[in-house]
Amino acid sequence: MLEVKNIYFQRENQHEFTYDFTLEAGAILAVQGPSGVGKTTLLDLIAGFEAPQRGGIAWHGQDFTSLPPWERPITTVFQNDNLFAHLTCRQNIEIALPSSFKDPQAVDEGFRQLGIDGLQNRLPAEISGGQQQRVALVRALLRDKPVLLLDESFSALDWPTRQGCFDALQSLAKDRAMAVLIVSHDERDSTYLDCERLALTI
Amino acid sequence: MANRPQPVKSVWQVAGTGALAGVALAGTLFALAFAAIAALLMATQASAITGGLSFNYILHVTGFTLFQALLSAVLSLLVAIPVALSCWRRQRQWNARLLVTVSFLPFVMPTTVAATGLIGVWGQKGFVSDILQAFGMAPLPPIYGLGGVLLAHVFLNAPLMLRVLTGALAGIPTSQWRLSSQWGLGPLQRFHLIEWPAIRRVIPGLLALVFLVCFTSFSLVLMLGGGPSVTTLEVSIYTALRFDFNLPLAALLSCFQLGICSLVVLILAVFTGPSWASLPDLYRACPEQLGDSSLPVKSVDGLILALFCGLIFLPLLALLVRGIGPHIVSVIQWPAFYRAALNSIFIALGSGFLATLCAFTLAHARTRLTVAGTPVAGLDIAVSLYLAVSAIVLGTGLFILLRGIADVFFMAPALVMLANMLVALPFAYRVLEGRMAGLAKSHDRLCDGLGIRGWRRLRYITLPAMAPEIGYASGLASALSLGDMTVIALFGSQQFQTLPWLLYQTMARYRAGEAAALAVILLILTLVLFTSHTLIARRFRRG
Amino acid sequence: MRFLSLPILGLSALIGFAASALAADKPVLTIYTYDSFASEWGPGPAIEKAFEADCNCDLNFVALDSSIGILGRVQLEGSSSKADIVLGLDTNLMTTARDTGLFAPHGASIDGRTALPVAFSDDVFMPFDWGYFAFIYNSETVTGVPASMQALIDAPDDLRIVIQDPRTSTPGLGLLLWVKSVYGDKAPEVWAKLAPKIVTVTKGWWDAYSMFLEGEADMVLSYSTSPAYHIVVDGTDKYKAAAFDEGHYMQVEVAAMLKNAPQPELAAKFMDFILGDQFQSIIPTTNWMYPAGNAALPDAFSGLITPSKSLLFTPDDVAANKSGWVAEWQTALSQ
Repeated sequence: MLEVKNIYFQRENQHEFTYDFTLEAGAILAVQGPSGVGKTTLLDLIAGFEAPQRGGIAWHGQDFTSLPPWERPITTVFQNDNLFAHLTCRQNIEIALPSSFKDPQAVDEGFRQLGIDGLQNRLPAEISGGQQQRVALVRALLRDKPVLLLDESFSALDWPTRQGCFDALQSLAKDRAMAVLIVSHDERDSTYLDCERLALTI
Repeated sequence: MANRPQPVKSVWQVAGTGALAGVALAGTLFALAFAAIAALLMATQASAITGGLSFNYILHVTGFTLFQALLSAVLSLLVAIPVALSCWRRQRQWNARLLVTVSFLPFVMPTTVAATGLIGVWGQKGFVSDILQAFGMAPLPPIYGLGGVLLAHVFLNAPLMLRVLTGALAGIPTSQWRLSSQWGLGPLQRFHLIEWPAIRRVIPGLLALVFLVCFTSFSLVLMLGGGPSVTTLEVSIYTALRFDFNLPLAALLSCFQLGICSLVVLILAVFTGPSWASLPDLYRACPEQLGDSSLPVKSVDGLILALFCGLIFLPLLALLVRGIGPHIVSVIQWPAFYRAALNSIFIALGSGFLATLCAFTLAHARTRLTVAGTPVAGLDIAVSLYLAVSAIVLGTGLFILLRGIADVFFMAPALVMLANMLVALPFAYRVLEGRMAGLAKSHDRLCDGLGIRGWRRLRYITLPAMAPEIGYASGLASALSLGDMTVIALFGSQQFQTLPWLLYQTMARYRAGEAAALAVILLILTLVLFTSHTLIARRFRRG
Repeated sequence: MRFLSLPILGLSALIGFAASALAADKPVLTIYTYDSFASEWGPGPAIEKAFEADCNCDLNFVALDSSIGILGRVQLEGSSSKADIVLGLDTNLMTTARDTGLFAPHGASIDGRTALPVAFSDDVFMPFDWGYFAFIYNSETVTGVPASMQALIDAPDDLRIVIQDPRTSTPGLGLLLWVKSVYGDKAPEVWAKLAPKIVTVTKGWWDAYSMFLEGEADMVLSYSTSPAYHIVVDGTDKYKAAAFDEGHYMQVEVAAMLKNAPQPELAAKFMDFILGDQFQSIIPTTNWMYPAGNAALPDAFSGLITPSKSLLFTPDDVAANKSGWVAEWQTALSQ
């Protein structure tokens, strides 16, 4: 269970944000709300790119509020710029995996599942934005962290492709007991996923 | 766990130990420069410290140096801006590409060689006078004097500015070009709205750099100045050091020069935006702009490129015309040639590598400290110091500091390497620092989120991503030290010679033919060295 | 990792230098001299061979960039210097050099062994060659060559001359002293009249000479013996020295041994060797100067000008007045 307990955060002279919710393992939570309401900030706080002034975050009762990003049980797919421009798609994935995880077949399988098979040896500049996002998703899934944060990661995909990704995501979340937070603008996403929703307001 | 205060992290925890190494290095650079000057200041001095120089004379020289350096920097910029715009518009044209590719060459050429090439074009018996006379006109007046010095400074620095300015233009997002193309902006509107804002950010840094280079110029001033009226403070330092052996005077003048340079750089820093010298890929798709294929724009671009090609390539051609011939064969049969060439290459590679390593360490520290929210001016100053303190002051100071400790003959190669490294460091630093800061923005979150840290990040992410800049920086640094004629004049000997030293020695034996051949060989070697760095670097681009 | 290939090259460079610094068994006599003296075409190799023939030693020339560079270098190295002898200073530097206290008396005899046009006797500095400063011109292209310094000064301004900077070059200082010895206090006016004819003032002798050879100037300040080089090496006698009625200023090049010489006996032996026939007969066609001793001159030297009068300030005069005279020169040419 992911617990976000009464987190308070404010950048200098900007809006105050408070968050308080829990998310079961195996469940998906759609974070919704208009621009500027703090959706990305929430993900940044969970991932550890920002530090809250008050409150705490825990996974299965283990508090990780003061851990650096790389020691948290988290993996993120950002809105864009998820890939290193100088590495091929396969290298982009393998660089982020511990050596014991490096299974070329698993990588190929991930590419197949998300409909981007054959792009393994391309450079990011040679594929489309939607394809780049799916490469990043393959990487996030292979990293096998229990909490997955998706920041508008599928906005660039057409609806049928997006559905395919959601299907893969849902079954993985169940199988691996992952908690998935997905920031999205599109009402269709949460409807299709049939998941819990967190509507943020200012 | 609620309401628990966040642990306060020190700057070093945020910035990492690599940053500490950079700060330590910056401290060493400070210490080294001041130790060198202090060593000269404290050297015993038999005659009067003023060495016959009056205060008024120093003021006069300083005024002239300022005037000359400012004029040189502004002229170089005025030449470079239109050429950069034309190069960018005509980026698919061979001459524009060639100009940008060899833009480093005049800057790293040994100054003696550069001056010889310029005289071959603009001298009384040069190309231009020959053509004028063929048409029955009078030859050019002698180029010696302020005009010659300005010409040489533009020849050396305008191409470097061109490289940076086209880099800035290439950094403009494609979307802006698309908008401009869609809106149908003409060349002038485009300059006002898109191009000028991009290049304006790099101009203060460029002006400061070229100002410093011209302020501390001396061999060119001695060669082309035409007499004691055209002089620089650096000439006075050089003569105090080399010919009067008045070390304290040289140190005092150095401090004075350092003060003035710092003042000017500080003034320019007020206007400084982000630093120059990131080198984005130049050639990428950019939609055709309104007017690009119209006759007036085409002819203006053609004329600008042709004139600039003439300015840059004719002196090189003049050198080739003199140097290529049977003398090359005789030169490459000298045993001394191989010794000198090997020494030169080793020194160049060594100081190029050291300069790049130091520059990388400093740039890393700068990037990390910026992220940690710490001021980084100290790092910048530690490096820029070496633009204002001349190689000869450094070399002499270090020599005096070390002479009691180690064997001077044995030290000579190491000292030459070190001094050349320090001279090249500011350039390498600027090239790396701009790119690294840009990379940090996109890489930091990604790497932290993916747990790619420390050595792995350096090895698989930072180094490959920066390979082109590392290649450019080390190529530039190596080429600069390959062409060094200043430090080697201090430490060179028959037992330890480099190609520029051999070139000078050959000249001193009336051997004009062989000297010209050596100049050509040196030029080709510079080109090969620089190009091989960039080509090797390109191979490391992919992880 | 592959990025390491560059540092390995760098390191191998250092190791290469270390290997070349290994010492030999025989005692080594180290002589600092200017580059052209020690070069393959200079007198160095022949002199080395001649001296090594009966000294059971290894003569090692260390070539530095100029004669002033030699003095700077030994001052820089101070008492830790490895030099036994410096060879290539001139009379203008003698007092400055003596005042450093780095040099020792040579103990060899000079009297009766020299063929200098002026009397020379010194217990520290040993003359090894000498020459006259002179303006060189191309006799095929230049007409109306001035026959005196005054004629040069009065010549029309389209006569282009190139000279060297007295602050950085031996001939440059020579001309300054030449003008001073002829005109005394009127020197500034003379320089002002010369100024329009001066194409440029160069740092070193070669810069000026090569400009002249390239046709950038009609006349260049050099040595009266320069034409001999062109006769012997290029086989042409078109380059000639202009003889001036007022006389020509001289340069006498000297050697001296260091107080802290690691090999004092060998050094003393070499100081004596300098005025011997072997050394002196090598000088004319390698250093293109007149030998200081009584050696026979090659044919190419017979057609050279013979100045009616030899001008030379004493070393003390030069040391006492040089900076003032240079400042005067700077002011005169900066007008």
